[in-house]
Amino acid sequence: MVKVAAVVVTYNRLEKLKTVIDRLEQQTLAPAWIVVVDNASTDGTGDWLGELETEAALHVVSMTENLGGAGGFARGMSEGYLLGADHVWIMDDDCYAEPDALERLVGGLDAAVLELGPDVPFSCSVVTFTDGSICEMNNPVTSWDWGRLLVKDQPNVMVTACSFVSVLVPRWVIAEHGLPYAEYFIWFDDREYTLRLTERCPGVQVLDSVVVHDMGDNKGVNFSMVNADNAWKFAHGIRNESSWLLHHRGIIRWVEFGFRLLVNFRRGRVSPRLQLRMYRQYLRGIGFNPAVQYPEPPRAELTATHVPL
Amino acid sequence: MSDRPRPEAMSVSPLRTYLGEPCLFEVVLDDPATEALSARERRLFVGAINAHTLTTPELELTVHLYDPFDGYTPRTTDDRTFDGRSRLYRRRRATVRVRSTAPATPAPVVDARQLTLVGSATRHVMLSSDATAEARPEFLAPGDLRGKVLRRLRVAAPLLYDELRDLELLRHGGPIRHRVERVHDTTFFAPGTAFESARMNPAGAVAGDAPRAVLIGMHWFEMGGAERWAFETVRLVREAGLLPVVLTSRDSHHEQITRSELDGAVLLPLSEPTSLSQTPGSEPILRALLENLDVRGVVVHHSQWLYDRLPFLKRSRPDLPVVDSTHIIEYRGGGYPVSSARAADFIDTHHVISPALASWMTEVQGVPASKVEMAPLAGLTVDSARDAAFRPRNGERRFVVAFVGRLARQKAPEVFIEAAARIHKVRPDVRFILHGHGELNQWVTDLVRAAGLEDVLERRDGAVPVATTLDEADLLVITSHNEGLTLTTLEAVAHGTPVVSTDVGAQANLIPAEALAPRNVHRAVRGIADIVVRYVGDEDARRRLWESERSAERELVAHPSGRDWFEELVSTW
Repeated sequence: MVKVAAVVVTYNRLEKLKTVIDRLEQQTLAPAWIVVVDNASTDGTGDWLGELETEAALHVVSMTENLGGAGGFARGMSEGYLLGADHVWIMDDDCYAEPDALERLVGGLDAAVLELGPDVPFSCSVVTFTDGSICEMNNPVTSWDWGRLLVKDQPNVMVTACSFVSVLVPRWVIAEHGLPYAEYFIWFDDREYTLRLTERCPGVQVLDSVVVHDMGDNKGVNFSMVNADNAWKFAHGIRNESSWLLHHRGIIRWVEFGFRLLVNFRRGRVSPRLQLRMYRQYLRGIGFNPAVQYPEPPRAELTATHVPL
Repeated sequence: MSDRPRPEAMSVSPLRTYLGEPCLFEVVLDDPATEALSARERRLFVGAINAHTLTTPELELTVHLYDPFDGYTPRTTDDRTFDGRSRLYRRRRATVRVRSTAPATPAPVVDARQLTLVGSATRHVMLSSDATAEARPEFLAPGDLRGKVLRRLRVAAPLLYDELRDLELLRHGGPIRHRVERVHDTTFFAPGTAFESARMNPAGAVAGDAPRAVLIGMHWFEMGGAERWAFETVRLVREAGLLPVVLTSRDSHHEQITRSELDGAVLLPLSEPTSLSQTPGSEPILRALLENLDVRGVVVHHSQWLYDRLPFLKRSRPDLPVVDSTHIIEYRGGGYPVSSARAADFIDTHHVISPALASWMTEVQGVPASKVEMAPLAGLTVDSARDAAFRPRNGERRFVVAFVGRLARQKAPEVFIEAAARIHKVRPDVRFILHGHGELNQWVTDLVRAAGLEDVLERRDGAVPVATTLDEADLLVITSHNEGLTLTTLEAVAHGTPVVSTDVGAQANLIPAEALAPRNVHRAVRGIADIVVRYVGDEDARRRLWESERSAERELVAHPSGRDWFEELVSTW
């Protein structure tokens, strides 16, 4: 029997989190564990989790500080791996899974493996908005041969990247490719990670596995939308993407990204002050190059002779 | 090899069984996938669970079993099996829930990391496949530049590599020539050591209805001369009506774990490191064993893990008889005889297999002669050489020179190949048999090819009985860098085949000086080639050599054999 650890990363969205957990409890294929990473919420989430009882074994990871979605997912996936899960199923705290979402994800992955071989690194759901339309922000990137499984009567589209809203990742993937970069904090962590996983074989989007993303506004994002309110998020995204392009794709792609930013800033009439702030982040990418972490003990722990109680 | 213990084996084991193997736990929730495990995998898996439930008897454990990964050896009890923080656990194969049936007094916790390990109720066990265990691939770590250079050198110039290695070993020679410092029961808690805050905390009283048992420590469940003797002692323990508890601590695929001698035994195939879970003074596994089994004796066969824990055992049960058995003084630091000497204050009897080793133990290490038992292993593989007769050469076929042994560094197959090449130059009519397999298999193949011996050197592995090779051989050549008193020598003499050897260990107790070559590899190649060539052309000399060896062997077997000595000893337990 397949054992899945559902991993939810939450920060100050208690009411939505309650629905997320409720939906997890209604799954036709019940997860063996529910891992909730509480990113140091201040809205009573910790207290509620402390009293929560679930059918599946509940593991609450209470962070002492908010490490962002990236840090939360890295920690939660590691937790699922250490529990012995065959797969971790990762999602945000505003992701409501349809009752058969997990069963379809597992079935879709298994079917894809039968057709493509054992290297298929993940399966992800179709993400809809609360009104039933497609969620603009969570559309995966398809591979060039995206229809290969469709013609084999599988409801699977081959994809190279997706967002962390209902993604099923097998444990061998974590052992081989590691965890998402916790250092990214927020934005581009999902893109980088799924691109990392699909270098050898694409993942699949399972078309009959559906989740609802209860985000405030159903809008996509691009760099023309930088403003004073969201600049902190863009700052992380630009630093992360800059770092990834320079250190993993080469300097030409990095320079091209710089120009793309310029074009978008102009198009969106982003203020010169914000542009300057964003370009500082772009340059920070030069010295920012985190190492892949695996679910392994840090070297210092292994070499220490004694750690007092 | 059978999947299930033989009926007579079960009769001495009053324990419950899981997957047909004796266990000290009960299964709360089984997984049908475990039914597909092979006999070897069952013993390893049950052994791992035995060790974990003994370590944390208070916890109900969820044990995940993972698929093999590459050529890695099984992970059964090391630190990562407690917390799962390893990339080897890639695909889960089965999950069982178990509960200990061997309660024990709490083992003190002295390190924060230990608290994390033993506080978890999940365990992660990985086994290797039977195919890997059979093939035993050489595991080459990526290595640094030095390692890469040395590996290249080993292929290109094997003898030069050996010389460099000998040079490096010189600095480890102290314990071989001088008396070593004895271990005492506070050694592991000395200031400045990792466990300075720990204290000796002996095991509690044994349960009233505990079955009588003997604790036996082995290097691993592989096959070698020492292991053959160790397996025999396990058999003798069981025959005496005692429950054998056999632990190993050396990483291995344990392909011999299915041997019938181990039927009915509680097996503990440990993977290291265990220093954080089995801390000095606490020793959860040994503590639980001592409190749940009436341990009547301890036998240490090449197990550093158990040597290190003799102070705990003796402080817990001062009257518990402890014997050990040593064979070879290793050139790197002395090996197990030095471990034996260090732990001498906690050992009642040091069994040694050659007069040379007995002298070393008493004269160099100062162990009282009354504590040293010289009992050769003659009769272990060969019933008796009394009826043996020299086997005259069959003049119709070519002279055959054989090598029999594991393809491991210790056996120096490279010396045999180089000597064969030298012999071939002057006596192209001589045929060679290289019988053995092991981690140096591919390297040996390359060396044979490079020496141009493919047409005159026949390779044999476990598929051919050693007896067949010894019956065909006119001379057996032992080229080892390092030996005790080789069982192969005794076997060859029993088959009427004389033996030529490097002058290592106690080989001189059996082989006359004219058939001994120096240990140094270059001189060994020249020496062995010269000796062999001499005997190829002189059948009388070959006969005299065998007679001399047979006479020495008979003198040796006049001592009580290891088997007789141990049988009598264990009858008093």
